[in-house]
Amino acid sequence: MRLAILGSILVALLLTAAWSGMAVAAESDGASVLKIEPRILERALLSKPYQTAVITGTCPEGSEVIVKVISPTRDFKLNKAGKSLGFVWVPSGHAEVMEIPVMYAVLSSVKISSILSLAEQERTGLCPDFRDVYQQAKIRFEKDPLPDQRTTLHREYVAGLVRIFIEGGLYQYREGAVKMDSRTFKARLVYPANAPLGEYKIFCYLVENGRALLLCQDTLLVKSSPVIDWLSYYAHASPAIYGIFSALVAVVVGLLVGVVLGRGTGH
Amino acid sequence: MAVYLPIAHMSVNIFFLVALGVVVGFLSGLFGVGGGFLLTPLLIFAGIPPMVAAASDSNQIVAAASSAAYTHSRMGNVDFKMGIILLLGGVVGGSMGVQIIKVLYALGEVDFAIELVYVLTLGTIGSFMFAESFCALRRKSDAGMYDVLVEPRESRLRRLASKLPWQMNFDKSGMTTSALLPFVLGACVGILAALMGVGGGFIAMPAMIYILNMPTIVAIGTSLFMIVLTCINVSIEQAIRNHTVDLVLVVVLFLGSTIGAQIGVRMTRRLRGEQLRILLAVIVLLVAGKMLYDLVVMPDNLISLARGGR
Repeated sequence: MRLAILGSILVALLLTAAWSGMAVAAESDGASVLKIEPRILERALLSKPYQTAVITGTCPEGSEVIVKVISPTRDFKLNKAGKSLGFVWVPSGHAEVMEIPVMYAVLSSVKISSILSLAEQERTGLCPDFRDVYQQAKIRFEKDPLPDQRTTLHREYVAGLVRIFIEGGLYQYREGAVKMDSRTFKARLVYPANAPLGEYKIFCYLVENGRALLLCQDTLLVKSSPVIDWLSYYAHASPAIYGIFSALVAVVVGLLVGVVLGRGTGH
Repeated sequence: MAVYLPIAHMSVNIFFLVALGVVVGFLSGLFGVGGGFLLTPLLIFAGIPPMVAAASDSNQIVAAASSAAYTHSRMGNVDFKMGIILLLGGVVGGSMGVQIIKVLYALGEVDFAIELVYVLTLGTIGSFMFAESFCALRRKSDAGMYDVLVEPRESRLRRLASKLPWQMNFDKSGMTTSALLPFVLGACVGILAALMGVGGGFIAMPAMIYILNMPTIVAIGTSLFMIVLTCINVSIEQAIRNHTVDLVLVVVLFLGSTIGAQIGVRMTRRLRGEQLRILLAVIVLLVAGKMLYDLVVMPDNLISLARGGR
């Protein structure tokens, strides 16, 4: 009987130890340790041109980490400029690029090309020219081009849009932006005010032996303040009231300033 | 400090917008123009989508122009009778202009159309005003008559209008003409106002001086009165049809423009008619030159966002 009790205790101890060991192993694999601060970014009426979110997590000691952030997708109507009359640049082509992420950020602890091959960068969507979105984005031309021009034009439109995004700070490729400290990493995501609202996907990759392994992933919610929501809603849902209200505010303010500052003028 | 514009979907430095408002309001009070011909391109240069810039600008002009118009009316510079006829034409023209924008938008050509209309209108008016005012200044200088007010000679259209029906007396402007002339003039101004997101003052003001032969100072006051009412119509229509009036942008702009307008009105007392006209002509030509440059020089990126790109 005593032997049975001792045996049970021994088994229980062994099981507990095994469970703890598995938990530690899981932690070192990075299964549940991503922290985003703040978890919800609120876009206010008055703010800095950029907001920041800090992404922290744990990783095996001595490893390198890459963080990828992708926003919800949107559709964009685009013009392509062409020369007309020999000297004027006018929109000569029109297309709609669909399902393209408006924000795409890649942050890494070291230069990515030094730890990942081009093929591996392509597989994980970590290329410096964001070529991942070229495959993802769909396009609809206003006038269907010739079949042999389609691929070139598709690339041209998406490349032009990506360039607009890069110039607007929406597409970021920041090598060295992930700070490593023993078994933890920290990345500061710069979020421009013209980035879209919605749920952003965050992927953290661990680089081992030239391969990028998904360490963990999470989401970040970006929403607007109630005032912005209210204005956007009324501008579209009740445009007549919105228009009259806007005009009324302008007249009242103009006349008030005229009365206050206009004293002393006149006959 | 940046302000987020909920309709334009972007952030802009708030001090930059207020400063723009002050400059444009100053021009409004000084020349009797809404200042939209200057503000809309400046907002576009700052990255605000042209359609939002044009629509919000119309609303902003209401504030600046009503501030300046009130002060001008206290100074006795507004011909209300002329202003109301111009306005009736402006309302008809403004509504037509908004419809034209809708068609251009559907065709995807609205950005180019706005820029082209700007260059052509500004270039023509600016060149004409500059030449006329320069000649007037030279004539005065040659004659040594600095204290004599030189106003333009009677226009052919004015002579033609004297043969049209509905002849009316305009005491404040000191003239008699057919009501059809200011009505058609107002309609043309209204169409351009809607297309360009401007009050039309820089078109109406020279037209009142050179076509209707109104005294410069009365043309300024009357132009402002007309601009206020035309822009109320245009901005409400823009809000209803295109949903492009950004109230936040409007409020920030008129924080500066209403104050600038008051300073401008006070400055009109210190300058003569032809001096005011030549100054306005130079500003108009500078804006036209910049827009023409943008049309002629190859853009850095051949791909651009179309109207309502998102």
